[in-house]
Amino acid sequence: MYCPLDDFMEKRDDGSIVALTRGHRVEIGKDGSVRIVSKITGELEFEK
Amino acid sequence: MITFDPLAAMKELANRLATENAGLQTQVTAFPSGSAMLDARRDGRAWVMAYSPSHGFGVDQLHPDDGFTTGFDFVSTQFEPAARRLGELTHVEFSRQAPAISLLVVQAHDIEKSKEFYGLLGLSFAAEKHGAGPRHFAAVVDGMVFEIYPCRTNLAAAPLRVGFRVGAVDPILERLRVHGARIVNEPNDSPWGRRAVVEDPDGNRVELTAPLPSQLHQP
Repeated sequence: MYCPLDDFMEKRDDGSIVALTRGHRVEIGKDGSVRIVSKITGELEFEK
Repeated sequence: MITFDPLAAMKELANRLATENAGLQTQVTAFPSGSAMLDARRDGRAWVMAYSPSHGFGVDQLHPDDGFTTGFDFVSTQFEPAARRLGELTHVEFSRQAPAISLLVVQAHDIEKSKEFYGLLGLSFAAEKHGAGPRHFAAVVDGMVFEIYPCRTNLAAAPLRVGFRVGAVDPILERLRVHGARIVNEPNDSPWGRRAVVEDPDGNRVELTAPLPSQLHQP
C-alpha cells in the first residue's frame, strides 16, 4: 500500500482517522490502534 | 442553474453497477475535502473510481502487487468517460460466456442475385442504406445479422464459407438446383447431420445442415 493522500482522509472529532488508498482502507482509532483492510480480499492485513 | 454533483453521480453509478452485476459489492465514501471514492469488489477482484476536485476522476482495477502505485490507469476530468471505463472493467471481468457471432457480411457482385439465392434458404431480407453507404440487404438469422453488400471495386476475391442450420436440406437444395446454383456436395448423412454444400453467385461456399431424425430425439 502507499501513504493515504489528504484528499481521501477524514479526521474525526474524536481523534480517529479513516483513510482510503487505492487498495486499502486504513482506520486509526482514537486510542492509536491501526487497522489496514485490503479492498481486494476484504481481509485484515495489519492490526496493531 | 444545475450543478453537477460528483458524489451523487458516483452513488448512482455504484447502485447501477451493483444492480447489473449480481454479487458485485459497491461502496461510496465521501471525504471532507470534497473527494470521494467508489469501491467495487467481487470474487477476489476489485476496482476503484476516485474523485478529487483538483484532479478529476481516476479509474483502475486493483491488483495485489500494486505496491506503492498511486496513479490510475484511466483518468478524466469528466465523470461520464470514467463511469464508462468502470462499467467496461466490471462487465468485461464478469462476462465469462463465450462470444456469439452477431454480424456476417458477404460481398456480392450482384446483390439482387445474392438476395434471391439466400432467399431460397428462407432468409427474409430488408433493403438498407446508411448515410452515404451503399444500398445493401440485411436479414436476421437466429439473432445474427446477415448482410449482402456490393463488392468494392478493387476487392480481391476471397470467398468465404458460411453455414446455415435449416429445417430440411433436400427440399432447399432442390430449389437451389432449379435456380441454377452450383452444388459442391450433394446431401449426405454426416456426423453433423444431413449436409450439403452449394456455391452462392459469388462462389462463396454455403453449407446447409439439418439434424438427422435420429438426432432429433437425443436429449
